[in-house]
Amino acid sequence: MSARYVAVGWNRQKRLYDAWIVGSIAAYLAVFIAGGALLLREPTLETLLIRGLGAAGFVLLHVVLAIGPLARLNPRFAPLLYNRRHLGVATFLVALAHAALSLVQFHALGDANPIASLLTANQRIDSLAQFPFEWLGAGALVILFLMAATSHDFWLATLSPRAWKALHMLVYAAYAMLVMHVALGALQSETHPVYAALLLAGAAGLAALHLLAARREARADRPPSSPAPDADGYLDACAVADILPDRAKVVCLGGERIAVFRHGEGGAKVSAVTNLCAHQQGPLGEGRVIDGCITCPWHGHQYLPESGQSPPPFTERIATYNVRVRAGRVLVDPRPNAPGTPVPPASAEHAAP
Amino acid sequence: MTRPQRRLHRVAWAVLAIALPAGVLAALAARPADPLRPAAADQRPADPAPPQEPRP
Repeated sequence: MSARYVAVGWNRQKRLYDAWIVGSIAAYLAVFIAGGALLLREPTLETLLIRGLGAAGFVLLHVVLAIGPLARLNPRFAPLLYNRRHLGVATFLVALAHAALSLVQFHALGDANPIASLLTANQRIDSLAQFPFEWLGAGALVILFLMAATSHDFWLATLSPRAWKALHMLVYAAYAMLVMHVALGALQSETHPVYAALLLAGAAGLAALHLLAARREARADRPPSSPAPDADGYLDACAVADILPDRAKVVCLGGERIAVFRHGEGGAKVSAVTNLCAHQQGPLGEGRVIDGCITCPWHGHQYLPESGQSPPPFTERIATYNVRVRAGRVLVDPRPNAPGTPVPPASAEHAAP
Repeated sequence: MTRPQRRLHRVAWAVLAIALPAGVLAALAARPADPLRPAAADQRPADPAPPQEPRP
């Protein structure tokens, strides 16, 4: 997968995923509008649509943000990661519809330019009760737009994975802005405690999920207690028997995670590569060897274990590590080789001399 | 994720876990008892009366 644009490869799974998203949003809006019409006094359709779209976008964002830590905590949720970007784009589109209707309803029916009106009609930043909460929503929308516009793999390769990831971590700033957009906006007039309770529960729930997953990851980052490096600088990683054939054990050596795979006939060979997939830095060590290739559990990117190179025609490369087996123990040189460097695999059956 | 990115995530969510509830509670505490009448501190000062034109 080189850095030229390739259109989205639609398949049955993606179409089903998108059909679920569209159907769920439509059902949510239908229930919201019907319920609002019954419960509110003299609601207008515009008001119900604006609120419904805003609420739908906000709920979608919670779902998107929950998928990452859930997949870390329980591998059963990992399939949700596969097309998470579709959810993200849907969140942006729903938020855009909410913003457009709000702009028309509250800023477009006067003499001023609607955008100018949005930015200048209320400048009471000295007041919490009358804070220009619309600015927070607009700022979050800009972030969601940047993320949606760069969600294709073309941008991942063009911007580099590191820059792309840094851009997409702005979603946390967008989330914080949206929580305050709701707290300083709708909740200033909607005083029923259920709304505040839902807002706080959503934020607390997401924070708890992320912190639980972070605590688990922090434990995995602790290096194993092992003897000092040998004369060549190799560190003890694990026992060969700890690794199932065609699977890996992830160890933290030299400050980063290394995936030690057993592969080949009956798992007779041992190779070590970085745990980070070149695509979106997924956990390669949680994948398996399929057709002789290490396969990332997130999006299925593959690499040859002996060289860290993707099989042709793909061009991705990952760092490899020198590895040896001695007395049933796997020893790894924690200094990574350049991505794509071939390294002869160690034999899992015979101890090195 | 790389190790620095994992660290950044931990710090970001630790901050959000404290800041978001605090922000929401502050916003709820600031809202007026009657949403249709802003609190006195939030009311704009009355415009000064226009100068009266002298009688001819």
